[in-house]
Amino acid sequence: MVGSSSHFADAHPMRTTTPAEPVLLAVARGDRAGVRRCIEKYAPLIWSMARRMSMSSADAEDAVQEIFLDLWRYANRFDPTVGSEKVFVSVLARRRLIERVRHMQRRLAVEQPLEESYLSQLASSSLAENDVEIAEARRILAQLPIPHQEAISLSLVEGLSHGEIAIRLGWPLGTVKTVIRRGILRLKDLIRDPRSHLTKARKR
Amino acid sequence: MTVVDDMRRLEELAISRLLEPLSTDEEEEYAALKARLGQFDDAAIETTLALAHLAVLTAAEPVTRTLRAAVEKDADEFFGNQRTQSSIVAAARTWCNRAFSASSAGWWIGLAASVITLLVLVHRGPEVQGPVAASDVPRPVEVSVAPVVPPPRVAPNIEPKSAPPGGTAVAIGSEWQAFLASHPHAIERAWRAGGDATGERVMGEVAWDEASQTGYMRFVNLRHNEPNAEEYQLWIFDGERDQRYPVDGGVFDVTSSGGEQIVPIHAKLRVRVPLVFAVTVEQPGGVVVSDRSRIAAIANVS
Repeated sequence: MVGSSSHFADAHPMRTTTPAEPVLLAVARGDRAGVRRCIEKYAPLIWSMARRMSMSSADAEDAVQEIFLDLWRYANRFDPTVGSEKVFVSVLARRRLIERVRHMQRRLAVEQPLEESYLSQLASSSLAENDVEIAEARRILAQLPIPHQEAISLSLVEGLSHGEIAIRLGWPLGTVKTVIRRGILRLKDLIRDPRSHLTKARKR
Repeated sequence: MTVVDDMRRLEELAISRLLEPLSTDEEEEYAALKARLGQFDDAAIETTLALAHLAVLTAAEPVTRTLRAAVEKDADEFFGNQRTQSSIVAAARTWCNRAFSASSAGWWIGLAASVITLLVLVHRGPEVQGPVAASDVPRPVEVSVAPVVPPPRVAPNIEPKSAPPGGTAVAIGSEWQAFLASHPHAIERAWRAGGDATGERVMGEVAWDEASQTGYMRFVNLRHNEPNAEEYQLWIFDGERDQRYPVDGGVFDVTSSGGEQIVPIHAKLRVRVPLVFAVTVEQPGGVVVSDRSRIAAIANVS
């Protein structure tokens, strides 16, 4: 880190954001207050995603910085009429994390202990309990058998390969692939299903 | 296999593909199905995975202060560089405008100087960039529009007040060339009038090497000053610093008008992202913070 002062401290944004406005819209127009709000809002989420899909906390920190740079670059592509801001952020974060994992040809070892300093920082706050879209997705996935939920979680959250999940759960590789695929497709189908609360939420 | 079956298989492969690389056979199957079925919404699959990720991610963890500071610094650089394209240069313009408004005579002189400078810039073509241009300028061509006194090879009339101990207080023309030759990555930008009468006909360049934090200024037609009354002071706007407090680049005198004068730069602080070089007229000895009321010359980096 360079110990210089931040532009933000003395910035006089041309426009200010309103609480109801998606923060990425403010970021897209270079609103410094919006940038700060974006960091405030999404850093914990991105950090949580990155730390679980990275080899070390240092690696995760690099990933977080890269993801935020992607956000600055691509914020102008976010369209609030098309989808959720949080999902948009998550898509960008996942792309970057997967790219890093593949680029470095490594996976987070199943047995690797988490650093104690970070374990102690685990927050008790739940993610997005008030986010209708995510809550509905959670409800849909919760209808799956628990082992299936675990397989999906290991794949998405921990970033484990299908092979690693097979070892972890003691399943055949083909079963792992099938379970994850079907779980995701079920979610996708229910999102499209007009009876889904999620669809209703999107129509609001 | 029906189309529905094929579509389902394509979706399955698309999901796996986003989670880890497919095998060669699977990749070929994915490509074939995608070609056969026509439009396929990969984005829907990716969005679903992202949504599922959010759904199963149960806790958000606070980031450390260090990481947050790093992210803020990155943002600072990212948007600061963007600002280089607009507001930083606008700040330099404000300097000029403020100087122009100091007096009606000054305004007209400044306007004339700006017109001359503009003509010079136009005449020079694309090698000399306008305020918001971003491309590097390797070497400005020689100015041939405004009247120029043939430059002498040496300039003994320049007396930097902040020369380093043991260093020469007078930089000669050959040092300018030597500096450019020995610092191939140094940036070099043309001076333009800043609005004050002292720089109404100023020309020349500033050269700055970021790695060594050294540089020189070459002036032509910067009006001489009386050191007991006023002196010139260089300011360097750094993209990583508060723009209200540019880096002090040193105080210097020009004791005779005309000719070519070479002045070494003595930045008091490290300059990380030089955006604008500006020469002001200040009280003897210089000032800590300039009121920016008299700007003799300005050189935009981008």
